[in-house]
Amino acid sequence: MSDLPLSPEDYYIRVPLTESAVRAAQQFAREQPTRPKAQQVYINTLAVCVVNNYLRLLGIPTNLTASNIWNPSARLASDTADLWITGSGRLECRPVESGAISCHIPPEVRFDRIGYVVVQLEKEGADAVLLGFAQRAGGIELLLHQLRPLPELLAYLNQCRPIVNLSQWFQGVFETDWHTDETLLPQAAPESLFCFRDHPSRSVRRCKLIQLGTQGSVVLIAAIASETGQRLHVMVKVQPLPGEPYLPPHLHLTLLDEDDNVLKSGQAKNDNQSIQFLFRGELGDYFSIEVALGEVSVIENFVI
Amino acid sequence: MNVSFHKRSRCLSGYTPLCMDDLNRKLSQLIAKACEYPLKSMERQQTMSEIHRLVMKSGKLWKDNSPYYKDALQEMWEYCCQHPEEYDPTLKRVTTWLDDYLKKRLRCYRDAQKRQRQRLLTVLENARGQTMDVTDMLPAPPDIQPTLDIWQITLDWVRTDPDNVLRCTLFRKRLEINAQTLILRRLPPETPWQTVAESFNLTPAEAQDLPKFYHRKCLPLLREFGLSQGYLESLKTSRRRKTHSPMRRAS
Repeated sequence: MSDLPLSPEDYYIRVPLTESAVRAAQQFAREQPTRPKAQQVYINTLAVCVVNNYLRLLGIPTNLTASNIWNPSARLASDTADLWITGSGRLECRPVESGAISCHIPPEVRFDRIGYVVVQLEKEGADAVLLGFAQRAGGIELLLHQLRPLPELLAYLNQCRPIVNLSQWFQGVFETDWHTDETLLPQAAPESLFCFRDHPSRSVRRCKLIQLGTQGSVVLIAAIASETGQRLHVMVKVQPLPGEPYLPPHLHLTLLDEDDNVLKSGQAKNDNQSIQFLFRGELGDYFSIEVALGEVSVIENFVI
Repeated sequence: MNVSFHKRSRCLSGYTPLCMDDLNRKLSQLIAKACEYPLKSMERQQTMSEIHRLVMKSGKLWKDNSPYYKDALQEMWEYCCQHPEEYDPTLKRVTTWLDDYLKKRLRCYRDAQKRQRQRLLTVLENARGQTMDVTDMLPAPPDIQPTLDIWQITLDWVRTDPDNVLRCTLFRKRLEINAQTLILRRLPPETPWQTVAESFNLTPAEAQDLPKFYHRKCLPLLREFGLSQGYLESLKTSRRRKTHSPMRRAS
């Protein structure tokens, strides 16, 4: 059977539309003040639940409560069908009717998504069908015949560069691989942990092991502290592993904005113990940090 | 026993008719392959997703019309995809293994429903000293009346903006285009983005940037407000041991 070429339909995935999904969709729809909005919220919620169910059965961790559609105020004021994939980012799950040839992507969901899954919802009681996915929204409509086959989604999610959500750290939500100092830097002297002199009360700090291929590893530290309003202090620092006195010579640390423009950069000399950037940002700002040594470069993406 | 179980399956590739045993041979090979990969590895997930795709497409699983069937099916898949090692090819076919677990989940739902009715009956007997028809006491159809309090509360908060945070969140330093004015336009009945852009005389570049500003600067404020109201719902998509428990608000 695998000798013959498969058509796109062969890669469609049927997923049961559970009672609990229908109940959630009905409840969210009842909160809407107009009929068209209620219909929109109803099918958006179903689409998100269907994708969530599918990813759950494969053991891919998701977080509904971090999704806009699961927030009563956010779903009122946006045409959203997003599902937060733990450690990866927001995946938009757009519903289409049976027989559609394209899928509408509303303006407010055309960015900050790791991808778009198109879900075909059929008559009541039938299974939902996952038709495929796209990495980017592109124009206003996604053409269904141009979608990538759904089985490729797993590999795609796996290589997706995760976005570290710094303001969620205040709520105790941390991405995997971001550890407390005790885990990665057990011997660190207390003064080296101190980062925000003026904001000792409300700051969070975590570190991550950055592997530089065959050239060893360094520790990347990120910390965030709140100021008044929406402005936040951010600190990013790279330092050697415990027990190693200096950073590898020629190690580069670069701060980039969301369009990959270089904002700050630093290079280690022979006896540098760390490179550190301190800057301010607003809620929702995107930036990237690149740690590079020779041919090896590791990029971490952040949103404040 | 499901009648369709013995029928020849619909062709999977579009040309070659696949009999049940071909499908099961293929599935059995896939399960053996999945077990060779480490737990939580992507290769294992991909192999299990292929099994799921083939079986769901074949339509060969046990079916019934119970209201909790789809939830039981979802739970079966969640369990079996995580435990391929439990499949023993010497005992049964893959579809039978899946069917057995599905029927087990269905029995749990049925038993829970029975227990619920029994409890109700006991309560009624104790209360009135006599029995009555429990079907009278089955849950009423879900409330179809809209619950507009969340809309009202959100709208009030946006209009009053007690902390001035919405009015201070400006698009390109233009005082009149702020989170408050934008959210009020996007709350239902929502004004189309095109009309919003025209009403502020935005250039095409600004018009394109406005939804991004809305998503990045305005929605997080709304999200935070929604969270502070404690309206976050919990969805129990799986491992529900009770049937038809109503959605609860975690507050």
